[in-house]
Amino acid sequence: MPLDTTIERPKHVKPDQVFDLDIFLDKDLLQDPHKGYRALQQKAPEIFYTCRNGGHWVVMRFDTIASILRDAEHFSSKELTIPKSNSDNVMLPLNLDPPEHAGYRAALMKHVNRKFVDALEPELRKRANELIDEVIAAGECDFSERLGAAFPVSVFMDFMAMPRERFDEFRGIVHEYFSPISNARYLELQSTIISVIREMIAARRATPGEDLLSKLMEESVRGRPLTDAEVESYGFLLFLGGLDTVANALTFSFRHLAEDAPLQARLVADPSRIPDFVEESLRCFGVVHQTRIVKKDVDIDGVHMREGDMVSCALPAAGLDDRKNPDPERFDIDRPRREHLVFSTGAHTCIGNVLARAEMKVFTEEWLKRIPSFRIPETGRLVWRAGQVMSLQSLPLEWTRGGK
Amino acid sequence: MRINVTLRSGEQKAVEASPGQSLKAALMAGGAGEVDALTSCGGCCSCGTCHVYVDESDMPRLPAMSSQEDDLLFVRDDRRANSRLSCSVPLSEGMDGLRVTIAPEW
Ligand code: HEM
Ligand code: FES
Repeated sequence: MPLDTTIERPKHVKPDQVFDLDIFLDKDLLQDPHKGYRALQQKAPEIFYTCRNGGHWVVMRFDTIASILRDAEHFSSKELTIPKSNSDNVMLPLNLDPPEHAGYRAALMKHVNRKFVDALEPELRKRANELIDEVIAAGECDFSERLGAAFPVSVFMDFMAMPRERFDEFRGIVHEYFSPISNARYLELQSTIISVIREMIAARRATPGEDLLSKLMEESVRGRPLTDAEVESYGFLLFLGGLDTVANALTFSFRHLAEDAPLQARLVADPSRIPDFVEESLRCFGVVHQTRIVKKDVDIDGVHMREGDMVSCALPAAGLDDRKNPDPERFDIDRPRREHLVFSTGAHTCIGNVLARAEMKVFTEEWLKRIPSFRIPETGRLVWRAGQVMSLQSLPLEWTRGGK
Repeated sequence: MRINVTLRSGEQKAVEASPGQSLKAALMAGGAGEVDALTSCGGCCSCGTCHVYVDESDMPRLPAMSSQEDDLLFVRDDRRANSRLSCSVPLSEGMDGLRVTIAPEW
């Protein structure tokens, strides 16, 4: 993130539409980003413009966000970074707009779907237990690092059929990638990830397998076989899209559960309610802020958005919108109705959402079987990261040594 | 106008609908909520979850399919010649009495 990218108010933005917010550094967001966005939803203009980080709009209400993300005529995915990255790299299918997008999306959805996740489930269970094995005796761990970062990596390595010997190397890359590092190091790690994927593609050419990468290499879009560069691009997105996001969502949910002993007891007694726990946790503790670039001038609720403007849709705030979920700050697994946009909506709705939900469910099930009661130690300090992908970088937990 | 729908349980229902609505919206409003999956894209022809089978004899009354809908249906291994994504079927007067069956959960 460049140091000072604050701009002057553009002319098409009215003075009363400006609200000063640094989505990366705002103090309240760094204190607790979900509380912070809920407070902004109540005190800031419904759609506002901040001059920080290259200047961008922020949208926080469920309905407005949904209408923007479903409007491919005015909003494009060609640029998704705030401040603008002006990068030439295209991530498939994330950066494509309809109608070009659908064929690339379909090629991936053919393989990443409910059947794929169902087949993976025994492996998810096994991996969750292996990671719990590593920490259970000690009676304490930093959840974010030991489990949050490690579990989705295990899963990724499984469906990409990567050798287990490389687990530590991979966990290392992921852990560093998602901690505060310099931009140069960030780009370096990206190249490392891409070269690992490239290496894997070469290996699969020699000996094809049953893994996702091998399947994508056989795939085509509207009759044309995918090129290696395209398969690489998918691989890179799966890596980025499926690791930090799940890690953070899982860590957020465990932060809540650690502080809610009655809920722990309830889920231990009745594990069939764990999916509701996962869903309520997603609603309350979203992860990603989804951006778009305006491709054609548009007026929304009295706000004029101009071609080239960046828009940040605060997906985590959508689930906290009182117009959709009454008493939105209450964590309640018994809600009769629950609405959120954690996985976005519209053409780019997260393809991994079935997998993400399964990972969270399976992990929580296995954990509670073995560590039915746990808490945040009194000395524990939570360290949050705000910005486009929010995370809890440290979550210390403690329990009776050896579990139950 | 009315749509006749067969649910996954086999139960049949007549659903009130109006021209201009999408078939999916009409089904949801009319008590066939199962057409809307937790993992839906919100009716943007991008997730394939709102899949229905249209009675063969009703097929000629439907507007043609876009290439986007075709792309998305391509991922469903339970696709048939009479498959449609209900979010992408706009209803019109001439479609009164349409018969559809909700495809298996996906
Ligand atoms: C809790 C975890 C996750 C969250 C919060 C999340 C969030 C999102 C969001 C918000 C988008 C929409 C982007 C947009 O509107 O432009 C998205 C897209 C996507 N996600 Fe996820 N995701 C998660 C897990 C995963 C996993 C595990 C995978 C890997 C299988 C994955 C793969 C993808 C892909 C491939 C897309 C691109 C879809 C497209 O452009 O059509 N995600 N995700
Ligand atoms: S609702 Fe997603 S394709 Fe119809």
